[in-house]
Amino acid sequence: MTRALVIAATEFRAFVRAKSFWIGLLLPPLIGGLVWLGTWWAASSAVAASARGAHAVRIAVLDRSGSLFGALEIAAAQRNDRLRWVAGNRPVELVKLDPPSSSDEAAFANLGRRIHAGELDAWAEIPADANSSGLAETVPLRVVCPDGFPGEVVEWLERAAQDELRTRALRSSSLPEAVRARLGRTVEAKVEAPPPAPGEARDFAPDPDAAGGFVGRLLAESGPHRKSFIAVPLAMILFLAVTFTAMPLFQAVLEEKSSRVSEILIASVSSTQLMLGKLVGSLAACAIFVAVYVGVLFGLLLLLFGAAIPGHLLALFAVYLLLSLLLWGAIFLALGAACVDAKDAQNLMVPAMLLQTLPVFFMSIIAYDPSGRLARVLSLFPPTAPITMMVRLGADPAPQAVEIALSVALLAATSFTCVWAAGRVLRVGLLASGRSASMREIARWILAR
Amino acid sequence: MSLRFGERVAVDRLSLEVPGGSVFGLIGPNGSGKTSTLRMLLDLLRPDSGRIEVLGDRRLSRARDRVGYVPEERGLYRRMAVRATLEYFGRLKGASPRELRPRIERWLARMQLADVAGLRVDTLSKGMAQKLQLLTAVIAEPELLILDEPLSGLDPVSADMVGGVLSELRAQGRTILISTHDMAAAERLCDRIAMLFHGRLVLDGTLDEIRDRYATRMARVETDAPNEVLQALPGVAAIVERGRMRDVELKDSPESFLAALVACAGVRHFELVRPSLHDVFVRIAGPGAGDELHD
Repeated sequence: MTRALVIAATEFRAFVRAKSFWIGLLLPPLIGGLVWLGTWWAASSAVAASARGAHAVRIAVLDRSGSLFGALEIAAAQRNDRLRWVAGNRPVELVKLDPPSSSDEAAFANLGRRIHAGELDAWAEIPADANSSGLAETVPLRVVCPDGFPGEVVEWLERAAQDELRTRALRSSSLPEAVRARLGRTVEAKVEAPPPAPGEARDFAPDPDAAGGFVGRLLAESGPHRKSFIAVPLAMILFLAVTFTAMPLFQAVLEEKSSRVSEILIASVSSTQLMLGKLVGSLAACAIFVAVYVGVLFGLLLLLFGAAIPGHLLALFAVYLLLSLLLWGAIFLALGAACVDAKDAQNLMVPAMLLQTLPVFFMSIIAYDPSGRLARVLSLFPPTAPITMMVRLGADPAPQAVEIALSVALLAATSFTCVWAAGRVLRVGLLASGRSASMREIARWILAR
Repeated sequence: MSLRFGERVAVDRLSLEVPGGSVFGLIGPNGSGKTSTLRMLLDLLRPDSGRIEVLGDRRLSRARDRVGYVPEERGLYRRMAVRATLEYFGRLKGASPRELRPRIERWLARMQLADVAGLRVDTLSKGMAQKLQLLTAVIAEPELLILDEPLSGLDPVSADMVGGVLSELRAQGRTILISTHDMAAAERLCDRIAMLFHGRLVLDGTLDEIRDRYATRMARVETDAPNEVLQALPGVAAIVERGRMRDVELKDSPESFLAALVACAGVRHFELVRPSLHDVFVRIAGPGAGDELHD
């Protein structure tokens, strides 16, 4: 074990001294951060532009009652604030019109021209007796608008005026205070995700008030998809960590083989010790990588969303990462030992790399249909299981416990088999020279007595 | 022990004993099975049949720490520093950092590498790298040292230095097994020599035993007499030109040949020649020699 640790320490030093490690460690978060900031800036700008009324619905209001416009203006401000995060919403801007000094016809004709000129989207007229009408009577609210004017804005104007009139009527009535209070109560819809099903992983609870801002509200309103905000980045971290720490093992072994160090190494330690040392070394480098990435993710979630990474998700991430690293580390070590130069290596590396990146291609399909046949099959196929399962764990419905257990068991069995097989390939392959081994030869090395 | 690679026999029923505390030379032409034999001793290859015992242990993996190895094709980490290289390979053999520290300094000074101890291996000259390679094998103070072509690529000064180190190690009671094509080096360094040819052991003994076994009636002369005159002398079987000298293979006693030569021509040099290891090698592995051996 001591020898394996000596190898691991040397491998780890080689890892962290390589420029590629630091580029791999720092560049993706930097690019991701810039993209994220850009997206946030663009979204915030769009919201701000919307809030500034760049696309506001301008309605001129002729309030002949002389008392409703102020209440409508307050209602419009509340509406605009409440719906500012709803995609496609246009805020309402009310413009007060003074009673026409000349004839109504001339004034209305002028308003019509302003609508055609694009200065206004509509105009409305509140009758003079609106405030004094009895409760049973209909108050005629005249709205003049062109074709295509949003109907929900008309409905909102109608409702806002009606609410105000009803409130005033109640206030001035002789009904007891308790009755008036009950009649004046309003209903406000609050949208929430359904509670988790029995056995289902508990959702994390973002706190939009703590987070505030666009992202917090976005997360709060994302409902059942909010777990994806954590699980998908974790899946990407897993993919990047394995890519940046397992694949260099291939290069390291190939280099040792071509520089003939490998012969001295396996004359000094067993192939199992050699492989174990290399895997532990890459695991240590991977730990740094993951600590930085998960730390950044954790910090962002806490800072922006007021949410933490759920413990069960983190634990499964650690299990899948460890098994994935063992699997791909062993595969890349074996391939490095089976090749004699980088050019020959392409024949063996390309299929392995394609297999490793396969779930990334399917990530959106898995997220879209997490319980579909493809997602279930990829979850049980060990090379694709870790990333697929991480994506599925963030989707709704999440995979059942038995499916997770089966996926982990299959992956663990395959990983340990690959480690054992890689040990055998290493023993023969490191001494082989001349040309790279074919898959058939590699199989023969593994199965040889 | 025997070893096959597919249809090809690499080592054929080889039986060999290397005496402890000796420098043992393993010679043979390319492809004769030397490297395969060394790799089997190191447990890098498993024989198809037979039994191997290293330092009294049949479980070769257990003897691994007591064996140092320098392969024919040198292998060092190019980006690792010289001192770190020695520490790494020493620790892989089970030596502790505390044990290694003074040893590393001593060996670096002994091999005149102290000045480059902090430099990366890829900045060293070929000769320096060769010496460092030897140190990676001796730094853990193994009981058995297996060296594949230890002097190849070394200038005469460095070769003498390495030769001196090997003599020193032998004097300490360590066993050294050398595989080489360099017959002069084998003659100079080895107490005992074995030769492999087509995977079979064809020669095993001390240098004197081998020379005696392959001794011929051969005289080396420097004379005025032309080849025709020499050929006509009694008892001459063949003549081989060697620059100013000529080697004369004799059928009868050298004394009668010398008497006849002195009678007919001036003689400046006359010596009876014992075959060198090179001669023996060529006689065994040269063109047409294989048939004789297989018989």
